[in-house]
Amino acid sequence: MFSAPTRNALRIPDLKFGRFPTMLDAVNRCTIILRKTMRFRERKVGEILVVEILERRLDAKNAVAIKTVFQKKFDAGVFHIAIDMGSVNFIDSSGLGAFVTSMKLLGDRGSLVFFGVRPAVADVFRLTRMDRIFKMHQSEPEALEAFAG
Amino acid sequence: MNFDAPRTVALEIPSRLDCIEFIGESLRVLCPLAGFSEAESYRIELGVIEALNNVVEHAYEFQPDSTVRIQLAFSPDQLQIVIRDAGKPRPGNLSHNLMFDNDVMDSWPEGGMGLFIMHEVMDNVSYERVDGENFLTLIKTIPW
Repeated sequence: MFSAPTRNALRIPDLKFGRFPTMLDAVNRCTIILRKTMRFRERKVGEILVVEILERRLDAKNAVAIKTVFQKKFDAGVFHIAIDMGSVNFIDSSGLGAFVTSMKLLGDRGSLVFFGVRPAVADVFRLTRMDRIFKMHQSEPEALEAFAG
Repeated sequence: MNFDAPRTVALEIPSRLDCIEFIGESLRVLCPLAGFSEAESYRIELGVIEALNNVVEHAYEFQPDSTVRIQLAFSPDQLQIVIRDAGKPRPGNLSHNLMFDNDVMDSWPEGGMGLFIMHEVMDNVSYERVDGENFLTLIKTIPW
């Protein structure tokens, strides 16, 4: 049982928020925890590490985790990385900033390229002119080809 | 669905980064209903997310127990979004420009792109401080 919310919360009688009386309660009590990690899968193709990002959103809540993933790779001596963005359907400036930081950490030791970027996500790269900094390829073979050439 | 009369949706979230997504997903559903294309809806979501990130990070400085109120007013010709918080006022001298040199890595921006994006994706952005509260108004015109 929950007491009536003291705040002027939005009430939508026709919608059900589980056992919570209002949407605000549902959000307040949600158990989403600030993600300390970014979910991804990785595999080696020759000298190149292919990192498949398994997050739908790259935003302020997981920006630090993005940087950490790549920092660890660089620390382990992995400098050629192709990032599969196929699962990502939203990115904000924090997500972009995390990739910029990763690029700066890498410096001229290697390269970080993207493939499978969805149109809406590519639009954010264009909007911020980040498409001039990052190399984006249509597919994995194209990305791997770019490393070879 | 064409909106022949104004409709208002009020939303409220705790000032936490992990709750912002909730507003983004709501916009993704509501904006197409009001006549925005998928691409435009995505851009509106982006602009609002950037504004909310700024509220949580700068106005509330990550204090998780405050409230951010979002009002979406759909009228026949535009969507007006008002974001209201009781956090710190915005500094007066913020620039919404984005300048960097592609060839100079040090100049690449790692942050501070939120305001630029908001101005790019919205038709109008205005900020007011009233009675200790911040009001950010974003307007997007509905295309016909």
